[in-house]
Amino acid sequence: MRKYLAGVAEGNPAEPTDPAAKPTIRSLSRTEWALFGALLIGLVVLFALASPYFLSAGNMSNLFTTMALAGILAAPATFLMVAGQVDLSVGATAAICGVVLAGQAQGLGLAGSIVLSAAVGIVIGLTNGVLVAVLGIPSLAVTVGSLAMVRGLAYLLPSGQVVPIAGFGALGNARPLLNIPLPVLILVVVLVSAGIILRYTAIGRGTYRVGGRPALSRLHTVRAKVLVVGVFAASGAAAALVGMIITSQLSTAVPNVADGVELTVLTAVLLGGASLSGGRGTVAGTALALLILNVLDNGLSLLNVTSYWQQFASGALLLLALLIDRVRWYTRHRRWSRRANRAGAAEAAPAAGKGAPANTAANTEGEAANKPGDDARRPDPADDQPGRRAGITRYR
Amino acid sequence: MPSAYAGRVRPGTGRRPGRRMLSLVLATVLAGGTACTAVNPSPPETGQTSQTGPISTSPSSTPSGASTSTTTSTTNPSGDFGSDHFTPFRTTVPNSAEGRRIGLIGLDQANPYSKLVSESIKEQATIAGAALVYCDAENNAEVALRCARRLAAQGVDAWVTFQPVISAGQSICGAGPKDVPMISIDSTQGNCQSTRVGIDDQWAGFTLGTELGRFIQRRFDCQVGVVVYLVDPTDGFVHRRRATGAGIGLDTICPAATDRPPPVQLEASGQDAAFAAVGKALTSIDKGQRVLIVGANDGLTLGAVGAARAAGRLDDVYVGGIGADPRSYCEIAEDPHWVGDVASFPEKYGQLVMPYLVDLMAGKPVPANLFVRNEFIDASTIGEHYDVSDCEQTP
Repeated sequence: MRKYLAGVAEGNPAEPTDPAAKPTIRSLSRTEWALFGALLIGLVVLFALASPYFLSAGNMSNLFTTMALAGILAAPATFLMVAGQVDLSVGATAAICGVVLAGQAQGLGLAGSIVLSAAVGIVIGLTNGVLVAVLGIPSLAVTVGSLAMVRGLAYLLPSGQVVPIAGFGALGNARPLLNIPLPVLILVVVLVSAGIILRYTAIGRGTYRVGGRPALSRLHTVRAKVLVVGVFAASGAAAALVGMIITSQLSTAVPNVADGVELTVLTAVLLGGASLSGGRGTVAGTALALLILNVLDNGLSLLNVTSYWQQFASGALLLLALLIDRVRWYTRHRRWSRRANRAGAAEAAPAAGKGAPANTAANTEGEAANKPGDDARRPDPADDQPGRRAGITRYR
Repeated sequence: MPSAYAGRVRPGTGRRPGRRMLSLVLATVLAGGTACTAVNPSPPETGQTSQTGPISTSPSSTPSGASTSTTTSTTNPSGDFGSDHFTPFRTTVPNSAEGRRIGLIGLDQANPYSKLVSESIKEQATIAGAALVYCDAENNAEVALRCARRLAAQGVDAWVTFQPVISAGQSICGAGPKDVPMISIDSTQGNCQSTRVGIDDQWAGFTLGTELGRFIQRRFDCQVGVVVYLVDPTDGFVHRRRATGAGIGLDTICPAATDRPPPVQLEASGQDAAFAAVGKALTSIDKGQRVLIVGANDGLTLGAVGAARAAGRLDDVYVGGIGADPRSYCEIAEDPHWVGDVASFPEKYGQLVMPYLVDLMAGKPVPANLFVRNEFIDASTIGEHYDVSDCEQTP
């Protein structure tokens, strides 16, 4: 019961004691899936009516090519969010990997520079992961720091200028299958693989388990640390791939590419059912949210809506995602509180019958819950205290 | 690793102020704290182009000394150009593009110069009766590429592109509308470009240098303590060409001014970075020494003036810039230390772009370059071009 209540206080699922036990996969509810699906269909219909170009093959190709860049980053970002982490340095990492690729292509050859570029991305991810998992620094702080540092380096290496690269157009522009752009095919492979790994493998289960724990005890085991470091490395590798794709598309490495893509990724992951407090999210939810974001962006641009409004809409969606996350938390908390109250009352009844003192938190809440209109049925503001959210204060 | 990037760069990208500052600090720290270099006198650049296409790419000179290359227009900045080197603004014929759809990739709406260019083209498109499809590149080649794809999907009849990265021009051509006329603004954009509208950078620099030289000759008998060229490295050879032209112009009038000490070249990416760089440079120049600052654009020049003002050195500093966009109108009109600006009239670019785009759509031949005739304006002449009546209220 105490462990169960600890989970309740955290707003997270109860921590299973058996490490082999399958954790609960939580993402969008059926209602949310239906709502988001309806929103997507509504947007598509609206833009199709408003612009004759929206449903054209060319525009669909544009839409998915643009989506591919954020989507490749969003797959590992979903793992990170499920594990209760965030990586805001992906855009900067993509930029520096592009710069390294183009800058070293002549010296090392194309293959060598691709390997080096990927290695740079992975090293940046590993560094972020080690700082988070081993030193215990919050991922938000670590990746904001690395964002600034890496973006600065991306400008510094080529003295703030752009680096042209020849003979590297295929990755970003080829259409090897059914005239579908290669980046879109890569996106499909990445999303499907990530979805399978997250849902059906030990890595995925471990990720949910790490994120489902209270924040302070998430990274107490070596296995959890290795997993988080690995996911950060995957995020770095994905960023490197995106950097290479953009460089290929432009035939040039530009230090300011992928600027702000981390916000798009964060919005997609949160809107897709993940939670900032970890333990929730699916790749399918992220993909649906990405599609909504890109349809909105593409449709607004076809309607000649200024990019400032598009930026506003993107920010509004991020806030909406956070709001939905909060509402989910409250809803879940209320449900767990009710269950706890019922369970507490059930335990208290036989205990009281034997004359034993009923002074546990559960019993107290259970008793309180029996009083009509009592505050015990509502989330306790004390649960939002940082220490309590982090798993320090669990009982009054 | 940095050496692998040296000398292989192209002009171009904008940066957000915070990141710009951060990278500047990093650059300064890693470079041992120095951000300025002595100018190495070099001949005017020629033939620097990586583009190929239907327009001339070889730097073959015209009889007047002007090159027809798309990227190197001037080989003899000290010579007089014939009137055919510059293209006069034209009146757009009303409804001449009725029913046509024109795509426009704007550089960055947050940049006053770019905004004037875009507004001018929009205005002329309206007169021509064309529907304008606008896409803001946000000073980012990646966004410009998306814009090009969008314009292709929308099937425009012609397009105009104003984006920052020349070396991405070919990719943008590949992604953009096919087999329709394209006019690029300021820099070349690959093999789909039909013509280019912009200033002749070296000529603009030469004009500025000449006028600044005349000023210091008149006022100080060519005696200045130090000459500073202020350029933005992200604008690559565009700014280098302006600085080179300015050096030649200054040297033509006042050779003594650039003899000793040698001129200093400061690199700064934007107004805020120019503020910091000039502020630092002024600390190493004795008070009372006259400093002549040649800014490659108005943002840099404004940063220099701000730094001089903040350091209490405005009495020592004289500046001139290129662009004459709205940010600098009042400074030019009111500040006696702002000698003047080479105006490129971005608010009139549409009067070149739209009439020639109509010609191109009609299959008429158009020159490879449409150079805007620059004009030096100062406090006494700015009122002839721009309304500066409100400037007296500016503190």
